[in-house]
Amino acid sequence: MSEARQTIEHELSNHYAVDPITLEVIRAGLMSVVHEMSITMDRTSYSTIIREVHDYSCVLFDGQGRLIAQAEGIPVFNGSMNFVIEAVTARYPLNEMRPGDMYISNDPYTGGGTHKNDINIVMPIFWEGELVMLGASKAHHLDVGGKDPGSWSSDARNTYQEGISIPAMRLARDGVINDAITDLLFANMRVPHLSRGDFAAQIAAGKTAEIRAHAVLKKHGVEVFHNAVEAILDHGERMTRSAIERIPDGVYHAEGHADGDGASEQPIRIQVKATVKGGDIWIDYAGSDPQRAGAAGNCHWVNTVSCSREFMMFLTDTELGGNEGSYRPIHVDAPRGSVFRPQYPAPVTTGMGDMGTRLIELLFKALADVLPEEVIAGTFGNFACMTLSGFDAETGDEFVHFSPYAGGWGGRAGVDGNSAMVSLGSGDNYNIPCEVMETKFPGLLAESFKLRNGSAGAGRQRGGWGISYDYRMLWPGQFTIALDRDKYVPEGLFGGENAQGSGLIVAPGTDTEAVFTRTSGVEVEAGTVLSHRTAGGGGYGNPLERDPQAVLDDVLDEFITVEDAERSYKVIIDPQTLSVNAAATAKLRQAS
Amino acid sequence: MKHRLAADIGGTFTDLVLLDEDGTLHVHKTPSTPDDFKAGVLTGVKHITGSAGGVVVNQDSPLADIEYFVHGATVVLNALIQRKLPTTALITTAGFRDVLEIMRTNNPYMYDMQYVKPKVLIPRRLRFEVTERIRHTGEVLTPLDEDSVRAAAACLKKADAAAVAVCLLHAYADGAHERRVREIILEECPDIVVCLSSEVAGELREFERTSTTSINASTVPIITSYLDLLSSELRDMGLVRDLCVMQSNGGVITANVARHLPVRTVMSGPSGGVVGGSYLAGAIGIENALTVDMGGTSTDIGVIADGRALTVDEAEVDRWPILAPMIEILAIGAGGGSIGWIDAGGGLRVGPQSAGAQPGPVCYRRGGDEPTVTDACVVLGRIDPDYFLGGEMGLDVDGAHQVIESKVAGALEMDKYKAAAGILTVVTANMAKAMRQILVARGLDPRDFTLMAFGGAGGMVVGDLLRVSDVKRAVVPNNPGALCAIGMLVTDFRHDASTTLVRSLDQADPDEVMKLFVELEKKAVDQLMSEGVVSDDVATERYIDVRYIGQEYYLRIPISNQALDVATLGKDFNDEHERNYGYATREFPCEMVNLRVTALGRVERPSFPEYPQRSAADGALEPSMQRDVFFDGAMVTTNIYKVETLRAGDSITGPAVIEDPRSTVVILPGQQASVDRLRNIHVERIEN
Repeated sequence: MSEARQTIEHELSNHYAVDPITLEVIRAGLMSVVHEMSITMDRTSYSTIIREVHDYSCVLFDGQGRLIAQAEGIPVFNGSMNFVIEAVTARYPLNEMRPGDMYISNDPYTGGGTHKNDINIVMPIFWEGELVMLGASKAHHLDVGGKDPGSWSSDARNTYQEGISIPAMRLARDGVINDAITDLLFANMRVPHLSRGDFAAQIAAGKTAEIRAHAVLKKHGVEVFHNAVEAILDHGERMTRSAIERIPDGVYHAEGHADGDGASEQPIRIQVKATVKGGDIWIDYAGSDPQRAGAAGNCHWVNTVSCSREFMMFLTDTELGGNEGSYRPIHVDAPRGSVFRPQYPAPVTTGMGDMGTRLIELLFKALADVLPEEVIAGTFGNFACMTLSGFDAETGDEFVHFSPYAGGWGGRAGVDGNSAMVSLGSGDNYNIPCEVMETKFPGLLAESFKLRNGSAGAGRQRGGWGISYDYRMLWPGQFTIALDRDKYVPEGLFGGENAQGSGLIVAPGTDTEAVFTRTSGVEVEAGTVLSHRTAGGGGYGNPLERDPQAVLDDVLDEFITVEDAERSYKVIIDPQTLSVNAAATAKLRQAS
Repeated sequence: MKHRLAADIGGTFTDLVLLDEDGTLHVHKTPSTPDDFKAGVLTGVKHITGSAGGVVVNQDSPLADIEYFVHGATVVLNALIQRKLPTTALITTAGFRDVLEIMRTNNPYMYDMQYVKPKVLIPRRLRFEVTERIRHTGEVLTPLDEDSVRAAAACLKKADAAAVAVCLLHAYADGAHERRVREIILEECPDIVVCLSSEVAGELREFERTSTTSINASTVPIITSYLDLLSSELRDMGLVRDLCVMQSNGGVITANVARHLPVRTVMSGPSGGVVGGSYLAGAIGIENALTVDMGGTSTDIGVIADGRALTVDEAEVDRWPILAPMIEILAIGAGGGSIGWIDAGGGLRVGPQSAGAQPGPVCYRRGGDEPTVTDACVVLGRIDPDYFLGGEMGLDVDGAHQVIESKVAGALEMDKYKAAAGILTVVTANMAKAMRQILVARGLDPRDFTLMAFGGAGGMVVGDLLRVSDVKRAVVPNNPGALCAIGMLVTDFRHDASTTLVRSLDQADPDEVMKLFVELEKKAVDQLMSEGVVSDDVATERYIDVRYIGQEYYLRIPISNQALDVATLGKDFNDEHERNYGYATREFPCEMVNLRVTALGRVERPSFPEYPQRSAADGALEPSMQRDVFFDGAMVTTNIYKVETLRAGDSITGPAVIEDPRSTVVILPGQQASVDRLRNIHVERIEN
């Protein structure tokens, strides 16, 4: 430990009226509060998107509305939760809250939300008459109205097409829920019965937070808790600073393109400047295009900030979780009216994933030369969400099957990219098993679910494989697809090759075969096959430096052909014996 | 022939216990032999039945008097973790061979971009597809194309696979295609091991079922050769009855059955501890206990509620899910070897990195150079360096002091004693967090539970855990290091069977349900009978998994063996939901998901040896010595007691340390210990 740090530690131990040991005990207690909220969500939820996919996050704020603990979950959610509290408290000041209150929001513009499916519920926690904490959860509801089933329209032209807007509102007073609000919400949803159950789960999670938080306060007393919070936040700040300090002081630039905004296929120019000085980082997206007409092109400010924070958390030791302090050294800016700070009423739902992941990768690209061991080559991109919907042929009930999909991650300094993983921003999200999907949606059949051969970029460490998921529509219905990385495919790094891009192939191998990437509400007939193909990950490092045995493994596993091995890796494999011709390989590699 | 013998292979030591017909318990510890675990077991068996045990008359046939030999077979878990598996193939429905490699697509560590998915259990070149399709209703959409099966069989032959897992889509709804696949494969490759997903884990969710079946297939050859060789050696030593094997569900099966279902033995070691704890709890009248088995690298936490060990239906090994009923064990990286360190933000952390047995704590003199929990205990005076393991190790006390001083105390600007105490506080806070989590996830209140601390390091922190957790009292069992092996001596034979049947409660046909239960029960009971259990000793239990329609997770509700009353089932579910999660929506419709049967073959319970009350001849309880031990910020002159001097009814006021060469129990100031007739040490707070 440096002398400077020792001095800091010394000041700290004088500053906080809580010793480092008690601090860890309280931190463990707060982490267990949010963990237990997650257990409650998980066990009592209704929809596949929550129970199977785990598309939710639970966090805890202190009485001033500062984030103090977050559960394992979705990173892009965690970094955004302070905006919810800001929106709620702007309208309902903390000092007017009462036990039994609940607050709700979803709108990025008026409720601090990420996108409209993500509904936030905030419950204040009191102790001996004092507001000491707020428990909050954000959960993806399957459908919140708007122009297409699933409310995930990459071609929406305004926020109204993306579903009902919930500004920060008081959902309950003194423990009594305002039915007018819930009735209005359910009346605007396509599958309200599932949301009804998921609301119950969110409320139960909030109650769990209260019970568990009370136990912590009872054990340690409120004063020790307050002191510990200051120390926990400052500790979070120091963790981030120490990560930033590993980056040499300087100004770093990167630019790139996103594929299109759903309204037009004109590429979107994006740009970042990261300035590092000591333990602070300033991230500025000036130079990126003005906001776009279609949803896929716009990343709401809430998500721009959250994804920038997430990027920094990827480089930080976060085993103890991030908090408000972790974010203090991260300063984010973007011009108002740009794609990274669009203004009302611009559509923003799918751009959260499309532009949000581009943003994180842009930052990796900017810092690649100074942090070569820590960055990642291009990933398959956004959440690759698809909605399949229709009406049950027997009961006439509407069904909505919405899910994100996995793809290939980029190679890294020491290891290949992961195959079939959810996007950078999705964290602990799961797929929906084919067997569960068919049980829930008898009008859909999984024809195949495969790793996509040849999809990864070659490299010393190659990218991971994307997936190819074929559905057959047994009933007539419609699809909505929100892909990217179809034109601007995942990039290789340090000489690694680019990966294959994405695409939804409708009726593959037939006369009517067609490719879609950002389209909503397309009607399809019964019997149609939809082949959802996500991109692979980009390669890392020169493919010629890859171990020939590893190349042979990919041939033996039929991920690449003998020809691919020769073309990308200059490895000669005998097609009969399927073994590496070492001499010929060495010769070819030398000549290349 | 009344003696019972158990052998539990651990990472470092193999524990053996022999309970003779007089009720005397003999305990022996011998180094494990990871290259050939059998060798260590046989060495231990010879020792405990020979000179040490002193119970065997016939030296030529030392096991002739053993009526029951239970074994915790770590071979399966070990092979799995080290990936020393035979060539194993997988057969799936066409289009789905990659399910095993895709896994569930999640990154469990949300901010860890360097996360690496585990290497796939069966590589793609050994995953073959057959043409067929069954729907979730059991309806056949595409009949089985037998030519495609024969083509796959030819691939198996070419690959020289020792085993193959067959996992077809929706096979839980109808296993006919899988069974036909097996017939054809065995025609083509008669020597191959074939495991069917519908038989190994007949439940919904293709990845989890495929993972379970693949693990089972790849470990059948391993457990088979191990048990065959061991059984044959044991028979040569006179063992008459079949060797029994501990399962992860807390019951035993005979070696013969274990050969087909190795996946059920994966967690057999830790589950022995919970079963032992549960038996001991019963013997001393404790209904609810939290078992905390703290070893060198990790702590295994289990729950006994209303006298029974809690089980789960799914667990993970190295991120591969296993669908099988198992005793719920929450393993955390907190052990005697856990390392204390200062993070970049200046915070004190302990674990999950561990110095393990090699290089071990600094004080072990095996080259360790990081400060561990054990080193902290040495600095605090909790461990007597000259008595530890009978003084054989000769602990490096100065080394422990130096490492705590240089790597922890300096950075925290504390003196080394406070720093060492800090390491203990942090590690026990992590343990307390896990203890609370495992309970609250079930809606159980920690205040209703007794902490049962055992394993090599359990007694060392029992007092600290009592302070920081919500439990009211604690007990350290006699022979805390051997409780897992003791547990194996007292386990019932057990088989579980389940099937998926999704029906809304208002439409469920009780006759259909009961018919399925009868079939499941027959399957489970037949297996017990084949293992030599007589019908008088058989007990069965039935459960239905229920949820609100639309909900994904379910709760397990016990039902009567006679008839199904759907209204009662719905009410019981709502009550359970309210108890677990604090609310119930009674107006919401419910559905059943899975039917489950547990069949137990009761074994005769031995009783533990009892120790007498203090007599006049014993004199008063005296400490063997006094030593300075650091408690609550200061060195305190502390009484040290030897375990062998304790008598039933003795009471000791903290601070105090109670030692034997294998374990140390630390009683903090403000706590009181009392000794029961089985020489368990009970610890409670002294109420003011």
